[in-house]
Amino acid sequence: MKMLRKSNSRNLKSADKLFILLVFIFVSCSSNESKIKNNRCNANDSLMEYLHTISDSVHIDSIKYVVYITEKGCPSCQSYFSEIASNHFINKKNTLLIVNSYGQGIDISYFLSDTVKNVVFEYSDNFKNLGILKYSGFIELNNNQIDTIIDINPDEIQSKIDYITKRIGNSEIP
Amino acid sequence: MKHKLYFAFLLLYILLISCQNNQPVQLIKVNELVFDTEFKPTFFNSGYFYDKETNQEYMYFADVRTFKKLKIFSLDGTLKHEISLKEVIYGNFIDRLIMVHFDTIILTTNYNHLNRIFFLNKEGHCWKKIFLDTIINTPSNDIFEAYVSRCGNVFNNDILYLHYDRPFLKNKVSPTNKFEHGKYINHNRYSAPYFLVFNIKDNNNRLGANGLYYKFTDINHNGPEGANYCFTNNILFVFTSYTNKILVVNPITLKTERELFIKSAYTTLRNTFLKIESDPTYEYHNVILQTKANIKKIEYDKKNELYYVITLHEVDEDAKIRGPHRAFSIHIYNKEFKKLNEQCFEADTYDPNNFIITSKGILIENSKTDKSHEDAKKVKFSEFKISR
Repeated sequence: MKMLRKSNSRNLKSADKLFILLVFIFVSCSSNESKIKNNRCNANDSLMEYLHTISDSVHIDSIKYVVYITEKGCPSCQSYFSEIASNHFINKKNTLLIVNSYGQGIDISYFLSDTVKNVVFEYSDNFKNLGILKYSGFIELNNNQIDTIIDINPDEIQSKIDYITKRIGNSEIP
Repeated sequence: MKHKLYFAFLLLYILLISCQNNQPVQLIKVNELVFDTEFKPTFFNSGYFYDKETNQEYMYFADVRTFKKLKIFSLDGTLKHEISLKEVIYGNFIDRLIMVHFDTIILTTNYNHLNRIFFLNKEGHCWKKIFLDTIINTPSNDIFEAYVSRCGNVFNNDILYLHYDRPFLKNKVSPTNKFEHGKYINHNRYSAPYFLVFNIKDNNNRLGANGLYYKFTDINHNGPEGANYCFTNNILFVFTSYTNKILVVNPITLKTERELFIKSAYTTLRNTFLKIESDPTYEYHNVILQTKANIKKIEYDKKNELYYVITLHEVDEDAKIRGPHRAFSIHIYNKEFKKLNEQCFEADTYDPNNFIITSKGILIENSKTDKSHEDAKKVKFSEFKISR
């Protein structure tokens, strides 16, 4: 019996083999894609729930950009990103800044100012536990759906920060 | 009958004595202390100093990023002095604050402002500023960076022990191939002097302990991560987060006199150096430092003539509690470095980074149970005594 199976498999034509391979690749790709879609849906739901719970503590009409600032991770990256955020993202329209720092590794003095309207301090790790961003980063929403996620780490940090700064733009909260 | 009774008492007495002798030396919690700092200080900008003029002991806590303040307390938690650091700190470039005396507050710098040292007095005024590149007698080809350890005391009798790091050479172009580039940096770094010994009074300085890194690893492996050393009981101890080895270095000759190996009954301390062909991302090193068992601190207790070596226990990479709040051990050694005990502490109880020896007792910072900003504004320690 074993011999028969072996000879059958040897007799499979190259076209058949290619077909089986393509089917296998297609199935595995589509299952990966659905996994990614599912993960993103879950992340989206949890983020929306999180934003709803903190909605009372911020004065933003609609949130399009979420900037998460923490001092955990690569120290120079987080420090640079928080400096950019304190210079360019404070009181920007549609932008929520979530700060997870006691001010030891990064300077949070700008975020502590009474005139700042778009900052939430978060020490319970509720945002981190959503699992969307590991360290500091940026989330862009489109019709209440996550559109773009950017992690701040040493890889291409300048181009990432340039992109984020451009997206958030120059508009002030009225 | 009377003899039997005497005999029974004698037996009981011997039993009690032998039980007492078997009791290992250990730390027993006796008290809690609270320091109302109004900010959350980092362990490497906190510490203890003894004022010889007044015979007083003090605890100090500094914030060098946001509030830029130094607060000095007596051991009972009373605030004695508050110093603004704003005259010197105008950006993110201070690495460590070391308080030696009320008028000798040393600030060393990080990658944003390399190789500078500032000296402040109790008014927060800078009375001396050093740019090491112009002062030290370094080999002319060296491109160096000087750092101080965050793992304990780095100062003794006007001498500041700095770590000399030489990743590049002026006259040599770094190879473009990733593997060769890694080897090039490791060779420069590992063959360089490890210590820069700097006298803060007369600026006298010398380099020493050449090739010390090779006692831990070879150029085909990345790490050790840098300045992990401390000066205690007239000895320089050098260690890394990647092995269980400790080097005992003579502070005068800067020669290694002894190698010690730490073994734990609760965790496996092993070699975790990363091969240079692997991806040496920050994240990978971070995972090693956050989850693998490693040596955190070495301190000497003069009163009890004991050494304490703190090792963090290994946890899974996806463990909820990683970093310094993991379970840890305090290995207790006598002054000849004979092991007397290993005492285990549960996760999320203490932060052993802040392990301070005072005349009152041994202080270990409590882990924060409440993560609110209000709670973070107070530093809480548990005070321990030694029981033999």
